[in-house]
Parts: sequence; structure tokens; C-alpha cells
Amino acid sequence: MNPLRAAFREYYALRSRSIFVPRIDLREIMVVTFDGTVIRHVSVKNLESLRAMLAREAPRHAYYSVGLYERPAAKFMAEKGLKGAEVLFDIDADHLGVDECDYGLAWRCKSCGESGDGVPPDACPKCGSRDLERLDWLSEGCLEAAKREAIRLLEILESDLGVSGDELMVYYTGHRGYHVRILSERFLGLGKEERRELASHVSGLSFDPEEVFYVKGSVLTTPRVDEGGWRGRIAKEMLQLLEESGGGKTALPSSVAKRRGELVRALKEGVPLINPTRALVRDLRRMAEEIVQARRVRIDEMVTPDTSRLTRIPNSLHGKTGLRAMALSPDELRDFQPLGDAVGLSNDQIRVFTTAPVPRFRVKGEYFGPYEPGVGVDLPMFAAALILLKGRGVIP
Amino acid sequence: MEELDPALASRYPFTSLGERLIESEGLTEEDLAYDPLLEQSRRHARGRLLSAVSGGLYLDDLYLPPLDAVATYLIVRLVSSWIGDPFLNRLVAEHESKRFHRLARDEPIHILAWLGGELGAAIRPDGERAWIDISSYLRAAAGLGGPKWRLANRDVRSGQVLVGRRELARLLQELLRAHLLEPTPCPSLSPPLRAIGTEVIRRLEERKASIQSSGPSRQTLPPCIEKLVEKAERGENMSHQERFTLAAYLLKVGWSVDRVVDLFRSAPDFKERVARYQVSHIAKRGYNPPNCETLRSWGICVEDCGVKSPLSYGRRGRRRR
Repeated sequence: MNPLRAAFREYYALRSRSIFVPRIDLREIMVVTFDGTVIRHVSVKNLESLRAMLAREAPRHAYYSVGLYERPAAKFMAEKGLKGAEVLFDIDADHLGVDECDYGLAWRCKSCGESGDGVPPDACPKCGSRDLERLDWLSEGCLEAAKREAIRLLEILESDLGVSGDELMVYYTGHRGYHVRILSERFLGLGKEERRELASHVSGLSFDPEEVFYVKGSVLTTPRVDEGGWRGRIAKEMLQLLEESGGGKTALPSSVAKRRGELVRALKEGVPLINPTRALVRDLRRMAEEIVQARRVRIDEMVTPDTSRLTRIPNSLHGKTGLRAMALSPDELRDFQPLGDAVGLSNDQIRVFTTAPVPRFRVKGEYFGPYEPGVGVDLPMFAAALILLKGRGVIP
Repeated sequence: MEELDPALASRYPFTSLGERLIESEGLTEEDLAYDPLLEQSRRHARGRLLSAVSGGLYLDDLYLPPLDAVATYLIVRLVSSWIGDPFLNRLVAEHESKRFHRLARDEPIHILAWLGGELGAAIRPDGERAWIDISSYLRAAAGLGGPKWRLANRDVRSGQVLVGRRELARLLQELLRAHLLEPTPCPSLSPPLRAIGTEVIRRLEERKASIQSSGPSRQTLPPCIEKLVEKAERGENMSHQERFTLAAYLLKVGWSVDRVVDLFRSAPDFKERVARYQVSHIAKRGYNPPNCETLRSWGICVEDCGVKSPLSYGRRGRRRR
């Protein structure tokens, strides 16, 4: 057996107790094996069967549905009988536009095997082929950025939607992101449109400054600090800006500074402003927009509305890293270090032959690399897995 | 809450007050079909169904005694379930919920809170406004157009959304619509009610025939627009953004105002005058359909088809050929 698959199997044999899926009998399960076979529409009766299946198959990827079905094993979605679906939010570092996420980027030519650092060129400099593979990597800064989004998401879910604690399930995907599921009964029955609305709420996409700083005739109504949602967040942050600017520390647009006293009263007590200038309205709306931009949660909006999604089984191994898709409590999330805490594979030494440049990286507190392409290195399985699964090395 | 006036069943026959009345009176399908005292209920039910089909609003039976009002409502529902046509069901749901809104919009907040409870929402009055549980809010508001309904622009705290009295009535209209669209078993009907049904079917077929299927050429449509065309043809309820996107796109690719208006003819709330005004307005201003990023945020985008605006999809398609 492929030593990597053997390592996965060892993990599932030893750590099967940590595999946990609530209401498992109603879920669709999907696995992808090491030879690339996709097995869909699997249904298991209980956790024991799921754990046994993972230990037996040692799949490269293992997923379960957000949907709860009457017949999870039915081949077609329409036949499954959807009873409800958890609301899923997907945070993927690739969507964050963070420079750190390009750390260790490399490419390899699929025709001749030539490789190099950075963004893939248009054509292979050695053989001219245009069939080049983009190879990404994991970096701590990138994962940290994703974690910050997840923490902000949890804050919004708690304050606005009133979901917290055991109504939520948070997990690191095992790769470059986080998933948050709302388990609570009252959200299970939401349709596609409703889920979309939730997605555009947390991502601030449906925010409209003209609604929040609302002008009718000569009266400007502002949000108030005691309100909830984006209105409250904007009001609180603006009030803080206005109060700080009292000491001349923060520069406010002059239109805003001129009516500072009235604005403070509006934000605190809801007293509307009479005869606002056009510049004032424009500047306030722009400030509101900036606050939302800074605090919005950058989720993948296509994921949330889709009730037929599958995500990784908590504590299963990710087939692109060998890291655990770890279920976390909101408190655990704050101090969570994916490249340390989510390591699931063993320390057993294995020899890896690199086929592309490997950047310097740290797993479990230990530094590895950088390695040139075409060298053989002896590494613990958890570090070797990263190189192998990221397509930058082979077992000789 | 204080004791409810039983006369409310006359305005809101779908509630538990209505159900209790049916039970206490032992009302059966046979009574609805043959009882001479319920003749006016049969007449009004027919009027309501035909109004639904023609897109009107039937208000001749606003002040019936509770039992007659409940009977009328039951006949409307029985006959439409018997016909079992999804397009008719949407027309009836549109008509009945609009009729409901006409009555509910002037109710005091505590009556609206009670109605909300009847429709499965948890509503807590707060002065002249009320807090509605977020799931119900989403169910009701997700299909409504306009930025004021978007959650991001509202006071939302711990799973509750603050709404004004009029807004609440509007939300309840949507909840009632959804309730009416839930599938019902097909009943067997006695001849007098079947006769009403047959007449409704005839009018329904006439309306369907008047909707010319203008059949846009499907190959050149981007997937999002194709989806919208299908939705319009099936007469599904479409959000404001969806209607705008569809109209703006089709006008830009050369459809006439008439042809676009025809496409919307299946909509349950279709009004020739309103639709024509809106579509002509878009045509006159020459609005472009939103770009893909906006469509994605509105949830209209269905797949990544590799363009930045739905309009360039068509262009690329033409170039390829």
C-alpha cells in the first residue's frame, strides 16, 4: 500500500473516536479514495459504521452533507427527501486577497517536469508547453487571516442571529480555510433565497448606506448605538470616531466635524438632523461604507445558499495536506494554530524525492526546507505528507 | 393576550379561529356544495377564483359573517387543490395574500402579532413596532425587492428583526403566500363545486393561451438569464432584482418592449400597465444589466461561465460561431 495511505489508515485506526458527525443517519457521505475514485451517496446508520468505513477505506477525502435527508443514499437530489439543511459559511483564504497566501507559490510543467518559484509563466521556459500546474502552499500568515474572518463571523452570528455555543459548529478545513455551520433547528428549514440573504448580510454585500443614513426632505435619520446589526456597528464606531476627534486625534471630514454635537446626539439618542448639507450626507455614507468594508466577513457567497453542499467530516484528514479538519469550540478557535494543532499523522520517518521547489515551512514547531527540486530528504510523515499532497514530491 | 374577537375569523378565515368555527359547526364538503344557506359563499368563492385568474382583486365579500367567510375561503382552497395546477396555485396564493394585506395593513400591532403567530412567526410588539424572529423574517423578506428589506440595513439583534407596523403587514402577506403554496392533497368534489372548478379551468386555459411563448433562442443566453427566462415562463415569483436583470438584458440584446412584457405575462402578480411602464422605463433609460459581480451578490449567478457581464457572454458566443 502507498505509505501515505497507510499513514492515513493508521490515523483513522488510532483516532477514530474523534470522528463525530451529529445526526449521521440522515447525512449523505462522500469519499474520494487515493486512486481518485469518487464514492457518492453513501449512507451509514451510526457513527461506529462511519468510523469503521474510514479505517477500512482510508480515503484521501471524506465529506458529509449539510442536508439532512430521509433517503441519504438516493442517487438523485430530488429523491433524497430533504428534511432540512444546516446553514454553512465557507471562509477560504484564496478569497481574502492576502499577500501571505501566495507564500511558497510555485509551478511545474506537466509535459517536461520543469518547475520554478512564483506565478506560473505563460509557457514552460524549457519545453514551451502551456500546460503548467500552479502549486500553492500553506503559510501561517494566510491561515491567520482566515482565522480572523472566522472569529468576526462568529461575533456577527452571535450578536445578530443569536446563535452561539452548541448551536454552532466551527472547524478548520484542514487546508486554507474555515467552515461554520449553524446547527440550530430554527434555521434548518430556510430556503435558498433566505440563505443567500444571510450570506449577503454577514458579507455586507447587501448593505446600502442610503438606507442607514436616510434622507427624507430636509431630515437626516442616522443609525443609533443601541441598534443591532450593521446599523449598530456603524453607529458605535462613528460615535467613537466623533468622540476621539474631540481631542483632535482623528481627522474628520469638515462637513462632519462642523455638526459634531448634533451627530453625537443623533447616534446616541436618535434625534434626527435637520437640513444636512449634501457634503455631510455624502461623507457620512462614505464613512459607513468604509466601516462595513473593514468589518465585513469575506465568505464565499456561492456556498451558503446551496443546501446540497458537502463539507469535510470533522477530524477527518484533508487530502491536500494530511492535516485534520478539526472541529473547534469558539474559544479553541482563538488560540488555534493549524500547523501545530491540526497535525494528525505520525512522526515516522519517510524519504521524499522533491519534484518542485519546497519553501521553508514549520509544522509542529519544527522548521523544514527550503528544498530544491530533485533532492531526496528524510522527513517525519506529517511534514512529508504536505510535500507529497501538495504535488511537490514523490516517494521514490 | 386579551380574548380575540370571534369576528376576526371573517377577515382571517385561515387562522385557528376559522378552524375552530369549522369544527364547532361541523362544516363538511357536502355542506359547502349543497347547503342553500352557503349559496353566497359559493358565489363569492367563484368570484375570488376568477379574479385570481384574471389578475384582479375581489373585495365584494369583505364583510361576510364569520361562518360564510370561512366557507368561502374553504371553497376557494378546495377547488384550487382539486384543479391542482401549479400556475393556478400561484395565482390564487397571490390573490388571497394580496386580499389579506388589504385588510391587515390597517390592523393594530397586537392583531398583527397574533396573525404572525398563526402563520408560524414569533412576534413581540414593541410600541408601534414589533420584533419578528429572524427565520420568519427571512422567509418573508427574501423575495421582496428594495434595499430596505435587506437584513444588512435593519436593526437585527439576537435573532430578532425590528419592523414597523405596515412592514409587518407586508411580511405577513408573504408568509401567507408561502402557506398557501404548500402542497395540499387533491380532494374529491361534489358536482356544484366541480362546476366552479370547470369554469376556472376554462378561464385559466384562456389566460395561458394568451401568453405567447415568444421562445428566445436558448443557445445564446448566459446560464443566469436562461434560468430567469425559465422562472418567468413557469410563472414563479421573481424578486425585483431578477425581473430587472432579465428585462435589462433582453432589451439590450434587441428584444422589443412588447416581447419582454409578454415574457412576464405568466407572473402571478402580472399587471399589463405596471409591467409595461417598468419595462419601457428600463428601455428608455437604456440600463445595462448588472455585471457578474453584482449578479453574484444578488444570488442570480448560477455558474461561472467565464465572463464579466452577461452581455459579453452573448458576444463571445456569436464570435465563436
